[in-house]
Amino acid sequence: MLTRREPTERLKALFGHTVGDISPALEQPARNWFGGENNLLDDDEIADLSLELQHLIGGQLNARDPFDDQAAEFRALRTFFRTLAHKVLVRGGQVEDIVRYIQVLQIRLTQSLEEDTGVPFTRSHSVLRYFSELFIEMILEVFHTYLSEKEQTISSQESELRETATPITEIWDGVLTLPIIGTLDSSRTMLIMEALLARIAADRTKVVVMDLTGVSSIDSQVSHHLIQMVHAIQLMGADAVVTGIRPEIARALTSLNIDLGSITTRATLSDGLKEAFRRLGIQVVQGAV
Amino acid sequence: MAMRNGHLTLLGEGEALFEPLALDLAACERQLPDLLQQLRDRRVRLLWYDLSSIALIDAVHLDYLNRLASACRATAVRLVVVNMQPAAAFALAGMYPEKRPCFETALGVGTVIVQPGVRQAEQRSLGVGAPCI
Repeated sequence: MLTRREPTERLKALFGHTVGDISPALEQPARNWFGGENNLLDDDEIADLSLELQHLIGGQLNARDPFDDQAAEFRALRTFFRTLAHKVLVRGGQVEDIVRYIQVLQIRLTQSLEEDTGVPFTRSHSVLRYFSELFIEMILEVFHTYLSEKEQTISSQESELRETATPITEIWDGVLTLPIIGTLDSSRTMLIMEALLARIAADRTKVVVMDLTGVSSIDSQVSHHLIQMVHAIQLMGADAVVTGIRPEIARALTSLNIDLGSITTRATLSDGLKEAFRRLGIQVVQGAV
Repeated sequence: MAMRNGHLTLLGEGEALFEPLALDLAACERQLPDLLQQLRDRRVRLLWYDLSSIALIDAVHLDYLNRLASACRATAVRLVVVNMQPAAAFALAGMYPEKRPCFETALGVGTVIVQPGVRQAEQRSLGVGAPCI
């Protein structure tokens, strides 16, 4: 937030000044942090962004109220740094580099404006404070962008992990297998159920074999969801066979008073598939070679 | 043949398909005797009840389906609910064990159950397809 205060003579000189051609001076920090071996922005991009920045700084200093952080000029400057941060982060840059770039940029900008006007801005407390507050807001914008990018990455990785952790495979015409690996929590169970029911409807599945060999722990709520899943499969007209219930899971289920009597269980996935084939009237025989 | 709350199609000897229209449960309840009369007149022994147009089922709808299944059983008609939508199955499963469906289910019309009795026996123990009490 920019602190509103009575403009000093030097601030008045800053706000009244029409910014000249300072973009070449602003290019240098960008080249140091993003260009060359860093390979984050090419020369043309750096030239363009410096020119754009020159116009935006000019707009901000000549705004009707340069302390108004809701003004269009201020928001345009924030958007510029948000876009820059996004571009650099997506290309593998570090947030620290962007922050350091902004710090150096602030110094170069003050020096350039001093050279442009002949007013000693670098020795003016009010001007330095104004720029300091302005660029802190820009650094905060960069951090918001960084966090948002991170959250998006984590979210997409979680989604990818969920999909790969529960591959629903049609192993035979009308037979789906669902090996569940890892820890089952309620949200994951619901996602599996949603995907499975949609697949049953789409593929006209007759039997679903759910293999719990890879499930290491289960709680009361999840076991309830599992039973719900089996019921939902049956309600859609398919059969469910649950396989691979480990001894500790079985003990947990019985201690939770979960009745498995209504559910077809088999020891292994192989036994589950045999059961599925039996229900479909399919017999697998070893053929003569 | 068109009925006020749905469409009844004769599929073959002793088999019929009922497709409910836009759901007005009160109207369905009122039409229930008519539907049963139609089934009796046409000597229907197996009724496929198509739920493909019903996206979601709530407790009131489930109660109606259970009453329909019970009435069918009383008139010696086997009711099999087919084409249940994933969201509907999900919702019904969520009502267990407080509310249980008392009808048989199948993937679609004419779905062959190779091992007759196996699924029904399991369904009975589950409460799915079991007689309503």
